Amino acid sequence: MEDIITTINVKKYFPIKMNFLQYLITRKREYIKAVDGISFSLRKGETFTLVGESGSGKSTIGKLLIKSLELTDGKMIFEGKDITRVKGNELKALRRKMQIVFQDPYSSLNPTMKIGDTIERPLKIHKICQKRKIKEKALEMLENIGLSPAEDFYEKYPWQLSGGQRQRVAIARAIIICPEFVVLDEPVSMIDVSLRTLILDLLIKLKQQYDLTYLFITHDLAIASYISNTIATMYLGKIIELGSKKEVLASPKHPYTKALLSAVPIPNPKMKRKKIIPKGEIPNPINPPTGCRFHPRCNYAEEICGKKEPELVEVSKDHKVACHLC
Amino acid sequence: MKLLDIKNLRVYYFSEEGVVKAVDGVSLSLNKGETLGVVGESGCGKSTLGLSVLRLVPYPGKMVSGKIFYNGIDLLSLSDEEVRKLRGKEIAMIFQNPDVSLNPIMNIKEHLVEAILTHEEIDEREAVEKTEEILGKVGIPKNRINDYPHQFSGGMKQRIMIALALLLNPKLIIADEPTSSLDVLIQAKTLELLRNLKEEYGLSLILITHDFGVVFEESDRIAVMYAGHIIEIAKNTELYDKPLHPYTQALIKAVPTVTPEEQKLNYILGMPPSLLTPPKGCRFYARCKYAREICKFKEPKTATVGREHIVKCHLY
Repeated sequence: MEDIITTINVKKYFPIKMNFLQYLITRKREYIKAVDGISFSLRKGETFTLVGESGSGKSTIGKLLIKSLELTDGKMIFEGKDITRVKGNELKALRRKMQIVFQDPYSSLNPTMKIGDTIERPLKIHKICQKRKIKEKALEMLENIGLSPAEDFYEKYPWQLSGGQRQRVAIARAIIICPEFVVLDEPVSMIDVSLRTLILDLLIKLKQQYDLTYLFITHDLAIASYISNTIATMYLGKIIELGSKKEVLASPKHPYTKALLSAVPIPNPKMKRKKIIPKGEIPNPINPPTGCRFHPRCNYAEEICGKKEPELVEVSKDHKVACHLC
Repeated sequence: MKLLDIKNLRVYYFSEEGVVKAVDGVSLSLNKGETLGVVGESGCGKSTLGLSVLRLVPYPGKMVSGKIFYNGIDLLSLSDEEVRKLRGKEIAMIFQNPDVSLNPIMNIKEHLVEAILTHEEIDEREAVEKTEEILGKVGIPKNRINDYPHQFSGGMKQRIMIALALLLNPKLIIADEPTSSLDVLIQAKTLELLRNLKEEYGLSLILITHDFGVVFEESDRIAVMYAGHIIEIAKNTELYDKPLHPYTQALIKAVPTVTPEEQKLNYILGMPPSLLTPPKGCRFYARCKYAREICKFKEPKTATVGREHIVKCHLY
């Protein structure tokens, strides 16, 4: 399979605001290193999942990929073209091919716009179809995502919809212009467990129908295991494990991935899994720990872990890990 | 021994659009030292049920009928002042979203000290000592006592909420989705803390959640709620082995698990009925694959099947 998007050593640093006096005193700008040197490729048609705790930089990557944030350093290639610094009309054309669905459907939909208008807007902005066909297309999309009768939903406002229905509208808005690539940033974490599978199945169906590639962001490996082809674990702005779903879930190598796996509640009272919970909380990304970023919380840390940063190396086919001990 | 006994409770919201029957004839009891999980989808009335035990149902909600006995005392017959004295000291609550529950312009010390001084006749110095002790128990270092809510992470804020709930040594804690806004790792850590503190303080716990994974790991007994009714109650393993109500069966099957294999999950089609005009018969009728004629017209009675296994369905 060809790669649709490739990132090479991508970095995103957010400067910390300080006033002039503070600057005079410290003489140093400080940065939050949200994404700190990440390289990976998405194959066309796959679902690539980023897992990790809050603050690991997953959402920042999502925003970098759809160009809603500028990278600090590194390179991004989309369909064989360097898009690191595209601007203006070229960027607008690119946006037609890349869309995003956000976590919270309560804040991502405009409360003053009818559902129909919300879904039609991207068609109008990108002038994708003839004016008289716009409504027809929106109604068709509403049916397709299971909001039927479509005519009724077309006239409704977001507050008249449940959380699951709103999230479907947000998905429809992203997909109606037939993009190539969609970032799904925790699309089901605000939704009841009973409805999550419904939304996930809808996403899988749409992916096949529209020939999409997904970057899926989640902190829950149970959800990742349901939808992914490839899983990458992130920690403090770095990818620390990357591999096919089968490899990563069947034989996780990095202690952090193992911890994430063990923390997922099992809906079976007879299966007790010992939970491995790392000590403390995720450290401050302004001054990340030296060496392996996970070493202060790692139960297996050795001397080398504090000194040398491990590289992401291949341990078996389709499986890379950044850990000195693997 | 029963610590809490809810009998045929009805809590309605008298809104402009009509009467929303959020809790509609719920009977439930909690034994001392037990963890009772209450599971259900959003809008099934589980939070309202939790709030009514503390008599905190917000306007325009009203407890229409039923009884709630706590340690033999009828909570609904007490005056507001008497209930206020019970809150925190006997029954405490942990809410879902600490960002909304903590006051952004009060530091952590003020939150806790205020709560102690409201209920206990001690001086401020002692209150501060007690505050430090309880924060230590939930793993918040002493030197952060003067910090404000925004300076803490989500997991820490939820631990502060737990400290607030434990402050006055209550006997019963109602935790309403205590971990739903947290990461899986922090969730596991918070639940572990709650479990240990429950042991240490000899608490009883009502755990309200929509996540079957969490209830199966944490509860002794589980009550399943649907559209204002409790439709099944059973011991943890019993409910897992033989869930009787079609809704419970479907809900358990809808939870994704971690597996490298392909999984095909079922989900429940349709939506719960509006509680403004709940259907006459079984409330799950429209979504149930075993529905029969009788289910449409007659509300099922609660049947006891086996030991301590209660189900509200015409099939049994």
